[in-house]
Amino acid sequence: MVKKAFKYTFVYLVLLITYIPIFVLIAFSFTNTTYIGDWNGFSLELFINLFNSKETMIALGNTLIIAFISAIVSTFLGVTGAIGAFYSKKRTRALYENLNQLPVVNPEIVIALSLVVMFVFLGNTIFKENLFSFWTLLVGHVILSAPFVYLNVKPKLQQMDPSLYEAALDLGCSPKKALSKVMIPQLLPGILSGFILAITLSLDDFIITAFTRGPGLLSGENAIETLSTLVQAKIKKGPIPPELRALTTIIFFVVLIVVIGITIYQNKSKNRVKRRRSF
Amino acid sequence: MDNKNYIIELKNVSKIYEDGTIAVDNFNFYVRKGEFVTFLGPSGCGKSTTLRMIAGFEFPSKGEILLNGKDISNLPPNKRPINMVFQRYALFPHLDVYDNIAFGLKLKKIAIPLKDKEGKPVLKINKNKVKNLKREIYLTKKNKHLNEEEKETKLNEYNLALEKAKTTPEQAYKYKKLSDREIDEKVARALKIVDLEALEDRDISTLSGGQQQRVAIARAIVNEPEILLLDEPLGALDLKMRKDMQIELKEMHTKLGITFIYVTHDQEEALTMSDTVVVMKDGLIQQIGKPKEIYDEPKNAFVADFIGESNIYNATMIKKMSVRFLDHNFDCLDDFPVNEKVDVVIRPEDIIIKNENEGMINCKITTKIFKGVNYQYIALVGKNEVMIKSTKEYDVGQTVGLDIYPDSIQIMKKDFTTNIYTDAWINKNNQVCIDDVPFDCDILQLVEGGKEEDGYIVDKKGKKYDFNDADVVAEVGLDKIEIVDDIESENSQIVGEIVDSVYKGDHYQYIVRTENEEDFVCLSSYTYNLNDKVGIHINKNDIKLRLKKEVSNYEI
Repeated sequence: MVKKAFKYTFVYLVLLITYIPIFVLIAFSFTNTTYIGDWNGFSLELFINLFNSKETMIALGNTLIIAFISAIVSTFLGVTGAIGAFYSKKRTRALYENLNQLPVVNPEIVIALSLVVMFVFLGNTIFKENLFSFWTLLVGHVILSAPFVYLNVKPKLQQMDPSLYEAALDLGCSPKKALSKVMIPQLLPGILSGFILAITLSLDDFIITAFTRGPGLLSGENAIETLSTLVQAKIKKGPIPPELRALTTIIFFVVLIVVIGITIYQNKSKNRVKRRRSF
Repeated sequence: MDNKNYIIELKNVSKIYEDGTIAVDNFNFYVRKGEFVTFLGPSGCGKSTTLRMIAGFEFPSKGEILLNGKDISNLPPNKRPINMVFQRYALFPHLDVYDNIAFGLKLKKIAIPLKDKEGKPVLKINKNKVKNLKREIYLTKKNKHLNEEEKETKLNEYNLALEKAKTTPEQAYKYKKLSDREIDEKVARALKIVDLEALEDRDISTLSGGQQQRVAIARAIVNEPEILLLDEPLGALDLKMRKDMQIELKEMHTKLGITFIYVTHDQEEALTMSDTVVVMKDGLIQQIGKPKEIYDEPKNAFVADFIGESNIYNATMIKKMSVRFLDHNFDCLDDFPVNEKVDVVIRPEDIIIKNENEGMINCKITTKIFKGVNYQYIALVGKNEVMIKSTKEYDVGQTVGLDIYPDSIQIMKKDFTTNIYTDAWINKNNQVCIDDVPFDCDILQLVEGGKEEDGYIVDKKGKKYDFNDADVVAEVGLDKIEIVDDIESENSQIVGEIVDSVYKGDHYQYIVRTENEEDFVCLSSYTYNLNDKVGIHINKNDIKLRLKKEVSNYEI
């Protein structure tokens, strides 16, 4: 009995500590004070300001564009890489696996710095122009997230019966069809979670973004501003801009809806019974 | 041609992997249409590799596979009219039963001959054929296992065919998919054959092992393959289920009339189900025959030991149609040269047990086990054990008589009478190197009346010899090789793994294989298990040497 009580207290304590800051922030996004702590009464002013602030909207747009494009590219690379490595010889596979581990365990700052050095070097010697742009930023984000996609797909491959691919060939699939009709559906959960992870990694990345960005996207001639770089720039000058409280609230609720949606979908697909027309 | 009935033919097929292991060695074999053939052998004997080559998952390094007389050696699996039931079923978990079975049908395309408006056939150059021939040429050029001559003849053949295919137009076809109704009818028929009519909408994960097995079979037979391959399909089922499925599979085979090629390591399964059994070991065919032939007349000790229970003894032919073992001369039906050392096999149920002194030999019962249908006795004749199965009851310790009639004695040529190493050589310390490991030996036997003087070998006429690097053939008797338990000890000259063991009444015959794939056949009365690591010791005087070249080549 005591043990049980302890267990639950502990769980709730952890939950409380994690969620209190978020709830405080959400509460204070519905008032218009500059400093958290003062309460001026309920107001939606911050949300209105947020949508009127061109700067923030541009940063939000940039962040989403980069997140989606880099997630798509790194999912493609991660999935093909995992399948390729899985069907390689033992030694080659071990090599791929270790190479893939490096960016995961390496501090982000190392990746960021080495990328900068490489881009400057390439820009000076080969291209003879400043390389920093949307493309360098994309390369940075893909390098950041592709290894995580690989790590998400790999266990699915290991779980899969290795003769499934052969069975598909045996029943008349060409290798390409076997991949799309049998392999990909089997790996889909891993691919999806890899994709979502890639999006989140890209969304909140600051270090690599700050180092590899250049002019482009919605920022036009200026260096690409994402949410993280924008917040950083604002904090340097003064207090956290109050509209960002509203933005965080929105992001929190979007994520909440997505998570609930995924759970509902998963529960539903288990109970789904397919009806087939009969002749 | 008389081989028109052969649906599939393997000619000199070998499979050598990149690391040099030979999985299948010069396989020659054919299957008649409608036959039920089983490849039987212990794991690692090459039976699955052979099956995978027929299915198209592996391509032979040498030789050809002919399907209805046409070479399909390098055809990918999706182009072969052959379907396979996998060991762990390999059903697609994201599809339900119906979609699993319909998978092959949905991909299938039927060729319809193209006709122009007047009803004459349309002729076109067959681009597919050209593409396939180009692939064959590419593969032949890359194949490392063929010698230049074989390559040349094959390439010429392909090039000729390619020229012909490029210039002569053939009947063109258009391809049509099966309609939903056709697919539905076929799936329903397949479900009926495997007795799963009500389960078509079920998810694969909700099915029991036996049901999954049936779905796997339905998924293969629904495509109406010419050959159905089954790779240990009953391995994952429990005993009762396995017995039921054996009978059902056999019935299905008769009903469908498809050729079945079945792979198993279970000898009982092979004997009950097949028309023809192929016993394999180490990539080599040991024996091909009907189940009864293989049981009654095994060709060697391995087959006898692998198929069913048996008593195997070393024996000697003492006169025409008479063989001596268990300290008694038995009449027999097989004719071997007099004084030849042979192996004899007697099945335990063929030995007739009688009261003391009434049989040909007497023996003392040491163990008795009640097996339901009969008793299984182990009896001692001198030092040799005899296994007997009988319905009569005797007690342990009782002395009984045994009768063994000529028709139950199967005599086989001995697989091994001695160990011969043809690529041995002498090193500078006058040791013989077998498998690159030096063994002390009596080098003086190489020259007549030899003796050693100042580190040289001198013959009786005083000629000096230096045998450093000389190639020799070394011979060691089976009983001269000693197995050493402690592989670290000095006595253990070389370490290997036990890969084969046959019990011969009072001792075991083991084959110890070293890392470099050299085999040492030895006899021992101690029990070792397969894959045990043991050391080997050979006494200096037990190695017989013979020079490959004339002795005068080594004179100095």
